[in-house]
Amino acid sequence: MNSSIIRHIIRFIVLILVQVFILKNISFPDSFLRHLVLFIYPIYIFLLPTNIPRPLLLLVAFFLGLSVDLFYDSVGIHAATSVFIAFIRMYVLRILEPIQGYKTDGSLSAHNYGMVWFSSYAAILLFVHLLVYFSISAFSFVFIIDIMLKTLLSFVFSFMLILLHQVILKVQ
Amino acid sequence: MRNIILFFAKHGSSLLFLFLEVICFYLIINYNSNQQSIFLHSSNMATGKVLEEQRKFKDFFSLNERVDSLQKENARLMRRVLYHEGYGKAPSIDSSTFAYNLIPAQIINQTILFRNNYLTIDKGTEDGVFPDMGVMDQNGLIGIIQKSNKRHSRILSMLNSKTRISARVKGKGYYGNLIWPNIDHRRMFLEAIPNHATIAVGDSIVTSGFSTMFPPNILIGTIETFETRKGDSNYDITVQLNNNFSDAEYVYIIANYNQESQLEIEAESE
Repeated sequence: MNSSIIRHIIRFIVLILVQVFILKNISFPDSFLRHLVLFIYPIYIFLLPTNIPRPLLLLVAFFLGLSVDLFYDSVGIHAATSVFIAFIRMYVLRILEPIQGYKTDGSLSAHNYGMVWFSSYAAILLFVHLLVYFSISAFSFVFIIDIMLKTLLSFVFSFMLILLHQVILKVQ
Repeated sequence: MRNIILFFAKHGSSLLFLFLEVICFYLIINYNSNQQSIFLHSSNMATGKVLEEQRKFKDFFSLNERVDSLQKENARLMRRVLYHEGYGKAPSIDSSTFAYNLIPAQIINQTILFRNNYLTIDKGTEDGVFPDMGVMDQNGLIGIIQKSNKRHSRILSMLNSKTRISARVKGKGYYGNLIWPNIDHRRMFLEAIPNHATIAVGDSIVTSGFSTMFPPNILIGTIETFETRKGDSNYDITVQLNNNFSDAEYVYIIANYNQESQLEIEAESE
């Protein structure tokens, strides 16, 4: 129990570091990829076990988003997005529930539930995450086409990144 | 108390979610200049829209008052115009130098299709409207007050077989009487203009100022056709009226302060 909490804390810190020191600096300002953003940190919310109390899940998401915001100079945008997907995570899990049900503890990872299940689960949440993120950034649905294009583009690359993370690391 | 605890147990996480999102949006709007400006702009647009609708709503109910006040203002201005056009003087006047005053009124009933037509207006003796006063609207003459009671007055319309209005061709010295031979509500007949006068189609017909009812030089209409009948020394002139009786709604009663004294001296000399 203790070791799993420590593992989560370490993952929290590492993911933020990777996000703000590596992924934030990857940009292609001169090509059609200039609107691309790469997000790895939402996977932290995806992986949290099912037995985490919901209020705690929301608070963790809030602080995760806020930490990323501090480095992105976009106070509140990542936090709002993270809290939102933490909130809808329960409903997505209910829709995707496997026949044998969820284990009470252990991460919701590809290692524990299979790559196919994890892909669909992560795809839904990641897509919503990006859509909400770009919507709040634009702060107006006037730019809806713009928002959709950015979302699709960023989704493709961020999703590959997240699957890569699951292939390399066997998260318990 | 138990219910409150149960409520929080059931909806606590949703409330926490809303609470956190409110904090996030507070932060977003306060620390991001782009979102802040969009938020302020759209909230201004929203409140502006609401205020505008509210004003329209209020306007609708105060419409009558506003029409009344505008009509009063109009009467004041029209009086200046009449003075200026009638006497060719600068339009700075007070009631002591210009004998005519205008009283605004609204038509509440009228006919135009009969041989003898009448109108009813919403002003009477209480408002200073008395028989034999002239009535005009912004485009021309309407008629003459025939009867007044406290609140209402009856107007003998120009479109009436009894109408005789002294008129002249603008800029010329010829006078005649305007009568209504029941052609239609846009045309009248000008008689007694001698056929040696040089007139043309399109010449303006204005009031002569000889009657006590109308000040001089109010535009009545324009000459539409004129012809000479054999053995007659006068033209037959058809005048197209400048105003349209079918859409007249607001009128001005012309009160002449000197009417009584003029009529008195005219009666004595007869």
